[in-house]
Amino acid sequence: MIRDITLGQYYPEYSIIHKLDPRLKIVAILFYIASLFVVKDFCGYLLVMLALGIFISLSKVPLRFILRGLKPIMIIIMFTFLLNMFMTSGEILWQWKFLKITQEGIYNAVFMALRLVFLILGSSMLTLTTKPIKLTDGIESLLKPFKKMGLPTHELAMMMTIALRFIPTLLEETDKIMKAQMARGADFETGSIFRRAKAMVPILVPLFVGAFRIAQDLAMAMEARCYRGGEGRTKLNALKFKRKDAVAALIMAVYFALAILDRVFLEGLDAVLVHLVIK
Amino acid sequence: MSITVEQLTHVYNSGLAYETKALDEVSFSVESGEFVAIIGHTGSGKSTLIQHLNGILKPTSGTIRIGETEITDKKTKMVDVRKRVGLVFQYPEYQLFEETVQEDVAFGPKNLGLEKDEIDARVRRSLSLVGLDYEQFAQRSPFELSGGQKRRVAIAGVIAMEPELLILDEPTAGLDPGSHLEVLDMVTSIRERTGCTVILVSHNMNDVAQMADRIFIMDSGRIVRSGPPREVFKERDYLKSIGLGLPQAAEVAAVLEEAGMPAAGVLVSSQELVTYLTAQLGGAATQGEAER
Repeated sequence: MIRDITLGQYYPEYSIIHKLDPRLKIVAILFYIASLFVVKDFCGYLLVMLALGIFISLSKVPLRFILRGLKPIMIIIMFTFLLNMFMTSGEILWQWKFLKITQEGIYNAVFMALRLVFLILGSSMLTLTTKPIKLTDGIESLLKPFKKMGLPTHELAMMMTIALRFIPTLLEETDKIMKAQMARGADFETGSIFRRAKAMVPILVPLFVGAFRIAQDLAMAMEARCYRGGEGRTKLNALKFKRKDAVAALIMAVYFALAILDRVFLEGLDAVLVHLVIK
Repeated sequence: MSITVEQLTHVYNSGLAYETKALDEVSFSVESGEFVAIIGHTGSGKSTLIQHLNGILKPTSGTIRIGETEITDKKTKMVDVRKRVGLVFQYPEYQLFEETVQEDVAFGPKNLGLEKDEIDARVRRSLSLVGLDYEQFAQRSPFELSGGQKRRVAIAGVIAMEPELLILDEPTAGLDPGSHLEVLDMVTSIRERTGCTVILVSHNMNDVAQMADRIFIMDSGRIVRSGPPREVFKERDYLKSIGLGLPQAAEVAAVLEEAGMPAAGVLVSSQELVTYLTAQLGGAATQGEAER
């Protein structure tokens, strides 16, 4: 039940996307997110959709699996959609008391909802195709310039690795404890919000105790293997920027350039199109 | 309380790349008051199977009947099922959460909506069933007890619901030999004193050989053998092929038989082995003397 959460999950597969340098992937995703805010019309979205489509099909991660990640944030998307639809002023198409739907409202609602969907799909692709360890390696490497400013990059990356590593462990632990308490007649599904919150106590207490226990074991195991921070530490699998990474970077640059061109030259095209469709 | 399971199938991650069939058309029945042990190597489906018996997992297909109630029926209330079927998970001490032992054991009965006096009586009864002194332990924090004691408190928490069917998933995992025996004795005495049906999941052939009326052997989601210990432990080679072994006494006897000693049949306890060896060695000694 609790394992449906795909955000931050890794999907093991052998694909070109999986093999790319994590540093490149992180930067590329940042540019991708920026591009979502650069484009301002549906022509731009066609570009985004095309890029995302190619990215997903190259990664070989099943689309159904990726779409499952949208489920938990469906409420936020719906909320954004409705808010935009009813709250935008403009040419009124339908009205009932204080509720009114405008032409601009529908346009904005669809636009914003799509932006959220693209945002989630794109960023979940990063974790789906990159092992947590590689991801933190990449972040550590990208943060290197800040090390001179006194930022403990290695420690930050290690903390992140451990946090990511613990997500599945804690989910499993939660699942086990929930089952054990259900076996003792605990009920998490019915009753008022207050009652349900109170029903969480039998889960949270053992979970915290368990988390401390696991953390202590891990600290001991790390110390037993002489871990003492990042000073002078080398990597077993050092990150290498290869030719395919250069190619991918080039593609990404072209994509971003197209997004900017779209913004500069095609802005306002949508308004014309919408006008034509309605008239 | 009798249990009938028919064609039970459970598929994890249905429709995904890593879909696995944890249970494959499992059918069996357990008589009221019987002591059944389930053995099988890791990942054979034991834990999945028992979690179906009190409705924590829902089957992909198949039916389960506990007594007269069909628990796979959607109309069945789960609280009623959990009242009658007590499930002790692996490492149950990790489920403890209350400030005192007394309150933790009372958690189950409270969820059943019992009166305060009844809850209190049940806490006393179940603590005594697991061999903990009420006066000494009731007001202590469960987190300051020893490993073995924590486990007893956790088991008491399930027994306090007074189930007619008690299921234990490897109740002795991670315990030292002393506590191991104590927990097993405790299971035996709970069964004697309450008359409940018991299902014990275990890795330990010695324990199940001596305690169980019947043994179910599981392999890749199916029950591949079932019967009284002396019967299922006849098939030494087959058990080895699915990653299991014989009880120590039976194994020693089998090795001796291979070395040319007369067959001993399936021995389930060290006591039986001693009797057999004494007879054999006594015989050999007499023979030797006769030759001289």
